[in-house]
Amino acid sequence: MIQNWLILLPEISLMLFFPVAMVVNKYRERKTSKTFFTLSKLFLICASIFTIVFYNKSVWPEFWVNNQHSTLFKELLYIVGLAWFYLSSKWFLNKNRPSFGFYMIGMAIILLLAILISARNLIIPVFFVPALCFLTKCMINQHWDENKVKKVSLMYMVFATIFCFLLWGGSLGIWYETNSLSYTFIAKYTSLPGNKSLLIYFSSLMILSSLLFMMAGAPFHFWFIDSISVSILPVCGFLTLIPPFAYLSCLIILMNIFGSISPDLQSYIQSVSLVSLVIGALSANAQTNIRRLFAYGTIYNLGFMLLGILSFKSDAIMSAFVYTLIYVMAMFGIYSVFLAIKSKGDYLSSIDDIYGMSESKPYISVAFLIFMISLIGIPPLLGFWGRLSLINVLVMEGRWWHFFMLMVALIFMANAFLRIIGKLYFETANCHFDRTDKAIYICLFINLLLVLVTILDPTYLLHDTEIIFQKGY
Amino acid sequence: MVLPLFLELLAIVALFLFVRHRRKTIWPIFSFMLCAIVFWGYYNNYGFISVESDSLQLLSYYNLKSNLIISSGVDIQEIIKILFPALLGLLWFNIFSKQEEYALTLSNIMILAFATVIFMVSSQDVIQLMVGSCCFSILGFYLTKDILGGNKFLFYNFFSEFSLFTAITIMYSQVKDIAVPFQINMLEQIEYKNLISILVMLAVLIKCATFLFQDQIFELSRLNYGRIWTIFLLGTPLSGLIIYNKLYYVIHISNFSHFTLQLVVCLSIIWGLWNFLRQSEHKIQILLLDMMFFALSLIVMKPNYSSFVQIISLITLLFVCNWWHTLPTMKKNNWQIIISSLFPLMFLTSLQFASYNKEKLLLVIVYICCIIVRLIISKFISAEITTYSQISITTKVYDTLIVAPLSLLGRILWLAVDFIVIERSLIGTISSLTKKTTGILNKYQETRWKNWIIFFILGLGLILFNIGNYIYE
Amino acid sequence: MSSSFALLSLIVALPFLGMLFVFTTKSQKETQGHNAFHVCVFTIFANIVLIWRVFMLINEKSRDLQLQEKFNWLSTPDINIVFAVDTFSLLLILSMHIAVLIGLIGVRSNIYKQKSLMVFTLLFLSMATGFFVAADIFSFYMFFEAMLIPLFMLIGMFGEVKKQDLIYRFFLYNFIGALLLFSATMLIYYYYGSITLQQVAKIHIKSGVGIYVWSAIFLAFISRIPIWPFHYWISSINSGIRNPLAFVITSFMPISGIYGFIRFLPSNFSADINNYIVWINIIGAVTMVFIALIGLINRDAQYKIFSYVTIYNIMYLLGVLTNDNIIEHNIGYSLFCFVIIVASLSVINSYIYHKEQENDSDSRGFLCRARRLSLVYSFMIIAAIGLPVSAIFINNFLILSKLLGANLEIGGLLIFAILIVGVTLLQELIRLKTNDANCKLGKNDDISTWQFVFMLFVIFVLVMSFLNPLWFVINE
Repeated sequence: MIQNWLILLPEISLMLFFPVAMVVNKYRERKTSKTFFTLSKLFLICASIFTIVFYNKSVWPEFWVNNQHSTLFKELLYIVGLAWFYLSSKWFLNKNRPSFGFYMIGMAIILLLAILISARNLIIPVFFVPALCFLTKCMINQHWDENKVKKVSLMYMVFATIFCFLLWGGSLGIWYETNSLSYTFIAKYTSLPGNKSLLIYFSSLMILSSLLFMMAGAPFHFWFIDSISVSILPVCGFLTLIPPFAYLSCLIILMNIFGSISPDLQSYIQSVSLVSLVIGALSANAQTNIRRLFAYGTIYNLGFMLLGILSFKSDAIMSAFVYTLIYVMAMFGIYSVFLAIKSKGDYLSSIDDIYGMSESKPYISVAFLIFMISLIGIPPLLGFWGRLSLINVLVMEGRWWHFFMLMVALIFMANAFLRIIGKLYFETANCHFDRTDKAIYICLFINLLLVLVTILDPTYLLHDTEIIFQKGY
Repeated sequence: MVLPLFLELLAIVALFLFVRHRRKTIWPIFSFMLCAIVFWGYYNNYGFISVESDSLQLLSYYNLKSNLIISSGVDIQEIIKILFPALLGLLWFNIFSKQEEYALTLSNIMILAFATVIFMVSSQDVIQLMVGSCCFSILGFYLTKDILGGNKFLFYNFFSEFSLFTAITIMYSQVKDIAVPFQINMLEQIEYKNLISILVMLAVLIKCATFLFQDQIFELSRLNYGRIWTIFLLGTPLSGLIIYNKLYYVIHISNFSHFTLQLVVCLSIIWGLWNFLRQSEHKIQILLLDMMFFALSLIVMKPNYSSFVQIISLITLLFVCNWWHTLPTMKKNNWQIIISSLFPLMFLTSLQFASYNKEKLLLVIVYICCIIVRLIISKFISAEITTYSQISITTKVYDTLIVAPLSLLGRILWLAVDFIVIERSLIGTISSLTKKTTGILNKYQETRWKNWIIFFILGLGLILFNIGNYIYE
Repeated sequence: MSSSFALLSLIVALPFLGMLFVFTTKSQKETQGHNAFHVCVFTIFANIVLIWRVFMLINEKSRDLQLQEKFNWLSTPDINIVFAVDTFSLLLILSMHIAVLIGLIGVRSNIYKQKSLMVFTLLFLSMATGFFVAADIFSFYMFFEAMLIPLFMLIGMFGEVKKQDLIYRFFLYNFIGALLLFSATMLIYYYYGSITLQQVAKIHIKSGVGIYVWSAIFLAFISRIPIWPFHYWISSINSGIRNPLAFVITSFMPISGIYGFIRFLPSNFSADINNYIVWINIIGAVTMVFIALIGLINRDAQYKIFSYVTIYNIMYLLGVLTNDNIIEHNIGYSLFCFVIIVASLSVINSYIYHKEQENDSDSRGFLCRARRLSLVYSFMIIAAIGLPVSAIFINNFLILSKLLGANLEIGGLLIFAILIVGVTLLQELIRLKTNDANCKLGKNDDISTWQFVFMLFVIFVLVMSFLNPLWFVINE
């Protein structure tokens, strides 16, 4: 009994944050974002440590299972969450805005995502995904001027509800066919030759659609783009950086459990990935809002990743993981730079505002340049390794048309990033930039150092990860 | 003995390259004295620089067996004994005529020109021949760069070098041999005989400033006598004769070359005489006479050394005649004329008498006759040509028939190919297509209910399409 | 032959380390970029010494890639970073370093973003060096693409190109070429694994895929050479660049294309490929004539230099396509001098242009009041047009004789184009030397003594290269 509670310590640590934060919020007079960050840091570190300690222990193996894969994804979730909470605190401190809601919702989302990663029963997504949608809506609403986000928030809620119904419908269909919601049972059921019914396929499509909606895969990306456009910077960063690993893990697990019908599902994922590539790459050109531009970059990268992982073999999964990791590192750097760009206390989001930034902020501009080049995938930066891993999968599987589409989309994406680089370096400055917090520089430096170390010897850092993925799910 | 002399001459030039106060007369006097000592040493078979062999192992190309050889044959020694006193005379004139601001520079050029004569006459392969020819052109360029018409000299000689280069290149591409003189049986087997012959002939005719190519020479009337004589005695016309001598059989491999050569020479003489008789400017008279002589040499010279040595001695005599001819027109005081010209002239004239032969006598008689006839006719012809621009039509012909069409062609190609074909059609099409597509996408991705619904329906459409495919399969 | 000490890696890494040092030098306002400049110059000098050392270690007559260094990089896919050199690549690296050094002289007095200029220059130098020492397909590709970003930054920040769209298009066209090479590399990897460059010439891939692979490789390299129709954006950029260092660096792009052809050309041409080569020869020759004529009518000195660069690059390309090993050596020797001459001409041209702006007068007759500059410029023009004062003369003779031997008509067009461009350069020389009223302005616009001494050293290098292209190699 005690052992079970001990095994649940990661989740308990995360849950403990809420009452503590509420008490602090209510009774502490001087409460800044630093306060809540410190609290979240403490509980996230505890959760991280306990996750590693109990990496292969499970309390209810029918519902959720801890193993090396889940531990890996969770650790990344916690690390990225921690780092982003740290930087977000700077944003809140800038104009001393209340951050309680942000940290509460953020921790809740992290908790739900962590459980989702370990989930082994459809019942968990059935309940947790709607919760996630609701929390995402609340996260979007975290704005000092609610009128700016009201419309988007409402629209998001409507469509999220529709997709939740899709998820429920799909789960119902699976339960009707298999009489179980356990992943293990579903996997066994669908692997039997005579069990490839239309209902199973339709249900799996609906479940997958809801997951793709959460991942912001085109054509279900609309909420993501508009949310990024209107939300505050911490929320934008959170929505971009935190969920990818979790949803990737969920996607891999789902495709594993659908067994023999997964080849049929692949054509659907293929369509989504191609649409994401096209929409992401083309729409990124002619954007005037820099965050919106990178949001389209996110869509593009998602399409890239989905195209690579399509076969869901161990090599493909490993490559997709590497790609996502590199993408998150680069985007983390990008968002760090966003936190550094402010003028007269306001964070800038228009491309016109960053004209000639290299003159007054050379180091920030260089970091920005490096991350953008990495996102394009130009060697010898890390992004090239990500691109190479995925394309190697395409080549090995003989998917030449996909390879060709990727290259074409890459050209358009490169054009979009080039324009930003041009604005940074080739134009003269038209506004004065405020002084940047040292913490931003430190984060950028650590990020760049990681990038450099990984370039020199990638296998050193990812050797163990390779072994984990080779063992299979 | 020739190689030490060659090196000594180069050493003299190098010694005076970086002296200060270059305007001082003392430096060219030292230069003259050193040359005289070197000549004395040569005459008495005494070399100040000891060398092991006659060949300079300077070139090192493993796929081209070329070497720079300074020959010590009897004929080259004869040429040196004929030309060296003339060189000393020129140096003397340069020092004491006070026509040059930087007499040292001209002295150096004269010595270099003489060294180049040795270099070129000694050549046993075409590479050395071309190098020598180019050196003459470069020296000529330095002599003529300060005058308005110096560009013509430069361009003509450039065309000449190029013509020679092209001919040799075509020959080498077939025979893979660079030794001169070329074997007759080898020449008979090559293709494009006419082309090669014309090209080499063109090079020679341009260098000798025959009819159609005489424009370059007449701009030299703006130069001082020292420079004019350097060019004629030790310059490009002489290099033309050397090329003619070395590549005699190459020129005459074509059936038409002999006739063409005779025609050009005749026209040169007729044209030269016609203008000489009407010319009042003294320098141009001298230039016309020299031009006629060089033209005639092309007919008279045979492809052997003795004939060439004969021509050299006649050139030296011509130079002496020119100098005597110039004396009455020098606008200096008597004492200066005596020192700068009379002493050396008497020395050189006595040398000429010492090696008297009937060709020399004939040359002197013809020279004097021309002058007398000119004087007589000048009494009767009223309309005289005083400036060269009135007698030059070839420049206008070249401008109209060659330069203008090329310029027009260039303009048309630029407009048609670059502007219309590429910019307007190819790039314009791609650019406008991309802009339209991006515009449409952005329009449908604004924050509107309608747009979100459209994308949602698109997503649903994908799902239904996949279901349809599944059913069909 | 392999090296016990990673000399080649050091040659690649040194400019990169120099770049990091420059990045940390004092801010520009205090020092006006002098610190950055000095660090950059020192780095390049140090690298030249190392390259010289490498020359002594290799067998200059051998065509094999020597001093191989191999580093394991990725296990999936199996990619190693492999470096090796031969005489050809070393010559290009050395000439590139010298050319950049000459370009640095041209920007010595520049105070606009001097630090950024040095940073991107060193970065480009590092990537380009890596490109020339790369010995397997992936290493080659990585550096082939990596060169683009510093180039883009240099052109954008310092090129003074009027239309910004041109810069983006220029980058994208080169990027497309790089992606084509990437696709070909991946296909070769699929069939043969990660092979060295020397093995590429011998591969044989089945018809459909093979056609794609070789077409992609061909397009990747030819898009960097200003041959029709790829000349358009290269000319749009190059002809407008006023910063001499940026121009020098941009002029390496065609050379990277030529080098790519040398490394990737199949060892045996089939009859089909020979037919295509004929068409390339025709297009190349016509482009040469076309560009030469435009250079002749264009009054801008910068365009004249660009047309000269274009003509010679196409000539070298056509020489490479003859697939003659011996001629390749000649191309290497000629390229060595060509790069240095182009750098010198662009620096001098830029100097004259800026003096023109400063004095607010026409540059006609400029050289008559700048004697040292006059001497240097005259020499460079004479060397550029192919007169025997540099290795260009003999090597061009051998290259052209090969081309003329293959096809006289096309060879004739080549020679015509070279003649026109020679006339173009001489026109410019005469214009600058013409005795004019400007001569009497009484100003001394000459270059300084140390600049003159450095240019004399460059002249010395060129003259010595005429006698022996590898005169500086001291065999142990």
